[in-house]
Amino acid sequence: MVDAPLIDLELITPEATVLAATPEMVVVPGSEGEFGVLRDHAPVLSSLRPGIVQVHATFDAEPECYFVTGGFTEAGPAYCLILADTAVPVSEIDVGAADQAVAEAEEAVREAGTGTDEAARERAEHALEIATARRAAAG
Amino acid sequence: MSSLKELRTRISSVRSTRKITQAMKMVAASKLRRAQERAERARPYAAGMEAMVARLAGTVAPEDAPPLLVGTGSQKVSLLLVITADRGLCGAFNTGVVRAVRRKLAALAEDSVEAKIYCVGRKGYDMLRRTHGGRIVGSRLLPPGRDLPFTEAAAVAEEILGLFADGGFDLCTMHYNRFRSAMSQVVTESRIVPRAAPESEAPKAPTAAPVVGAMHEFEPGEDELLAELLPRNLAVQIHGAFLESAAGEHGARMTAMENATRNAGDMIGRLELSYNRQRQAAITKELIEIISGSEAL
Repeated sequence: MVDAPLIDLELITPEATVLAATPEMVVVPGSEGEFGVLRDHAPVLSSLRPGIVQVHATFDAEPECYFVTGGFTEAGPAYCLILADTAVPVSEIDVGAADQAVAEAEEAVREAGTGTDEAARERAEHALEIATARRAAAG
Repeated sequence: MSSLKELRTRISSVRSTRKITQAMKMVAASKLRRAQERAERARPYAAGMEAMVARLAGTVAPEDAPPLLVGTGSQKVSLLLVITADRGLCGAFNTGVVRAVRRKLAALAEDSVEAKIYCVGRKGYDMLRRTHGGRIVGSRLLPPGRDLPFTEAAAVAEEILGLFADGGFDLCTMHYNRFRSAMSQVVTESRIVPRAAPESEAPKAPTAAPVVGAMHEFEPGEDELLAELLPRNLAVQIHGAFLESAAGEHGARMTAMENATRNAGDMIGRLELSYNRQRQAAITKELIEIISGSEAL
């Protein structure tokens, strides 16, 4: 049997290396859309939006899912490096806390919407985007 | 000569000081281990980020590169980011940084470059405020607790970027203690704005070596990516300096407290010697008095 072509995956946050593995496929939430990375992927450098990184150890296996709030990824023929701002396994997301975070973020956006501070509004909207994505990831 | 009672009090006071310094040394040692681990864990991210920036920087034409990458074209105002500890009792850790900063300020003044200072950590702020208070444009304490979350570094980076965007400075250098070993910290100056190219521009590949000269696709465009990556990279560098400085602080405190403990031990020895001498002298004197008294009879 021929070994399946693997990619070297590293999922790193500023605080720690979250995952180092050699799966067959990784699906990354790129800012321009989700894309899968397989062996011999064309070199690409992309930023990430809040979403789920799916790590498929084999093509037909259930993916291991990590929620990332943003970051960057670089993929090449035999590797995929993900620099995430934060990354948590999806199974560890607390649904209740995620719900609450969404509610708080919505409140913050409403509050910022009444103010004149453009930067504050953008920050609040970004926080809401992250909170919503986290809630969606929690299922 | 102090009396026996005075000596006794003195000895017991030095003893309790020794207990304190010994405890502080142990605490610093355990904190050092944790801080070191944290600094090491943060390295892969910083290395990966640096590699990405280097790759992007190589593809952007110098004329349309953002000022964060290539500078504003002038060198009139320099911002010094000074990273020290919040607490003392760690030897020359804080003074070392401050001394280097003062030297730098003097050099800048000679070249008639205006200098501004941003302080992280209370000790550096306290020391610089007295002599260069007017130059300090911002300061913050390190977050309480033993974690140095990335968000803290990001907040500092954001403030600095805000200053940069308003034309507040042209160059930014960071002054901090780099952790070399538990015994030694090196006061380091590193330029963070504009980006200082590392000695070799060929970055270490993250895992497997990419084909040399491989053309990357960029999503979104190179410019947008660079505009996102550069501020991020700044925060990463600052965070790295925080972690190095924290590890260095604990190392410095451990060494300082070990010395203090040893000195206290030496002092206790000396005090006990003179205490015993005096006690013996008193006994001898009393004996002589008794004997000469009985002889006189």
